[in-house]
Amino acid sequence: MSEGVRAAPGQTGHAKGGAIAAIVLSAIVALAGWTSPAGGFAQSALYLCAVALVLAGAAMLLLGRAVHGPRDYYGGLALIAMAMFAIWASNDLPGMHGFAFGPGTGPRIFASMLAVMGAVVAVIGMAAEGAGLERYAFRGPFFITLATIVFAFTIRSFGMVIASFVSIMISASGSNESKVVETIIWGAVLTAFCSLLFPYALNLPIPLWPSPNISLANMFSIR
Amino acid sequence: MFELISNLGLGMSVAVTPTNLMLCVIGVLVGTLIGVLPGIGPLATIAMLLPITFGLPPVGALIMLAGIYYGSQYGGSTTSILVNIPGEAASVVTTLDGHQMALQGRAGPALAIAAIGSFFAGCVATVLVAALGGPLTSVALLFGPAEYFALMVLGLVFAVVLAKGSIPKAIAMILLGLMASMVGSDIETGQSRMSFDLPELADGISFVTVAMGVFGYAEITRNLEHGSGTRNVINAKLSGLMPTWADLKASAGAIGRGTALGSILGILPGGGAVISAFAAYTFEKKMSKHPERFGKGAIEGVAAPESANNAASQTSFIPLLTLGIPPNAVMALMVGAMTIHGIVPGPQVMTKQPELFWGMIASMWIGNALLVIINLPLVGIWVKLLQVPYRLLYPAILIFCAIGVYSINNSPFDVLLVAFFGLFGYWLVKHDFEPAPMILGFVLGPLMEENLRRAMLIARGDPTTFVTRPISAGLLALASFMLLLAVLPMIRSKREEVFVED
Repeated sequence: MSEGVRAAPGQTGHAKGGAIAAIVLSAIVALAGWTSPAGGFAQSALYLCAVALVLAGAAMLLLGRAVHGPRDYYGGLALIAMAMFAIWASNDLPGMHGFAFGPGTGPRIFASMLAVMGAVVAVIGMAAEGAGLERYAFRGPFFITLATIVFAFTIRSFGMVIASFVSIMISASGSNESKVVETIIWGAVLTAFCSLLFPYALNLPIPLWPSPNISLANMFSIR
Repeated sequence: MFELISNLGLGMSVAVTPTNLMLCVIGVLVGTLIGVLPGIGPLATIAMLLPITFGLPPVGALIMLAGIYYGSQYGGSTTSILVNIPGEAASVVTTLDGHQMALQGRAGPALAIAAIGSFFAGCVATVLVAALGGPLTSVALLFGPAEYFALMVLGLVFAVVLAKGSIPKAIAMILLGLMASMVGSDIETGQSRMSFDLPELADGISFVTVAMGVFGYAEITRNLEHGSGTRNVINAKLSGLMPTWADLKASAGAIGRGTALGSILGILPGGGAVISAFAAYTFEKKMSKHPERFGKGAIEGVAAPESANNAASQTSFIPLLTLGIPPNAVMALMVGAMTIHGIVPGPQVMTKQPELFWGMIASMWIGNALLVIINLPLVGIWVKLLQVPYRLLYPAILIFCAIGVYSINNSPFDVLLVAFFGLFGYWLVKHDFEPAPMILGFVLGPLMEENLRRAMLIARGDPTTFVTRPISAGLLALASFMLLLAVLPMIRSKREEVFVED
């Protein structure tokens, strides 16, 4: 954990970037609140967030203060963004009718509460001394994600043997300690093991081999 | 009393059928096998192995899952003692004295006392679950929607208060889970919510994909980041497995106290194995006449937390089986598993499916016995397993996850979701957000919404119903008190920090 941590204190770059992000975000929040037909709690929560963030952002620009806990600050901002996304996504759902909850009430309540908590986390990150941002590794997550995506797109038409072997090969590239020959042998062993375990021992209906009616059109279909 | 015995008898008759016994054995073995692997805790283990239980009948599946849970926990203690790597959070304390004992060549007694302590705790907790199950179920029948809602709020507050790290962040994680659980069809109108017209999302996001991504995948990416490092497995021969008479005498009290503490903390919502292990260790150190021995290989320092975490992991089934409310993330996974088998956890399980309820309780005891009988002799194999390099391990974990998730609904889309939640979990870790409260919120979300809606409807839209009904008011008062208690010191210290730097 410790090696990727950037120095946190006194970075003016963070202060400016953070303030700009906060203001842009609050503008979007305010817009979302404006257009949201739901009204009620969700709307007022959004307004509160927006006002708080605009004030905080402006104060930071004026005072030139650094973000003291970037890890919390950006984490909080991202939570607000997620909450806003959910409010936007549940925009079309009817809200309260009379005293009965509509389908949209629950999502909007939880999302607006998340927006408020996100703002709290961001404000704490702005004011209190906290950890810096951590560096993200690229290789591991990239190949692991790629391997899973390839598996998802090949399992239907190519069968488990090919899909598993290919994904194992791709995922093994995620570590700089993997050795070529060893990985190929291990991949073959694992594929054989899975081919026995899932379709036979656990009796799951997964095809082992490529499907006979494979065509260019349906080759990578996931439906 | 007589009823208790006849109920346990019924449970035994279910649990000792050859198939179920076999499933329990497999569960314990596989659970230990995976739990021993460094960096894979019970949550990841259960999430990973869930799919293989789907083909089984409900009773068998739950028995196997319970076995996996105990097994993975025991596997975690093994690695803490032998390699000083806690396989899971609950066995962090075990490393303190357990690894010291191993360095002194007493790995055998440390492992044995961990197993014996766990077994004793398991026996007591099983009886406790059986005894408390009945009365609590009748309490549960008094609960209306308002009370259920309040109880869930209390549970979530406990989870927040006891979570490590920042409280606002833990609350935010719960809310994120609640929000994500809203995706899918609305219970009352059937309208699809936040699903972007994707038919795959019409039933909501499957919790297995979230759990697997956020726990399993995120853990792999994190471990890859650290590189293999040096794992100094104790290579000393594990001769003299059995503890001496003096060891047993020294740890008897610790086992008893650990069991009592763990049983109580396990029942509380939000509690569970981790917190009780810490509490038991601290308590034992305070009680001891020679506290300076702790951290230098005191056998009580292994016995107390190990008994406590096993007792707690068992008694945390009580709120799940009687009230239908998962008190921690592992139990949240169990709810998911039950739902997949068409069982709605709650008071009706005991009355409508007594063989499932009591069979599971009986199998808890059997699972614990198996841990002692099977796992101790196999310690040598578990140690070998620790030497498997991570570069071989993680592609295997990954492919099991992928195939497992695919097999649930034969849906490639679910596999894509796992990849997405894997990246998301990685991001959460980078910002010190705890994924466990999120899973708890994710599982409780639909239940909370349903009860909130019903309570409001019954009260004709009057939100004061939650504070005018006595039980609900009491639960909510307790919840706000707990939250206040936890938040106040934090605000004070934060204020000080702010003042200091100006």
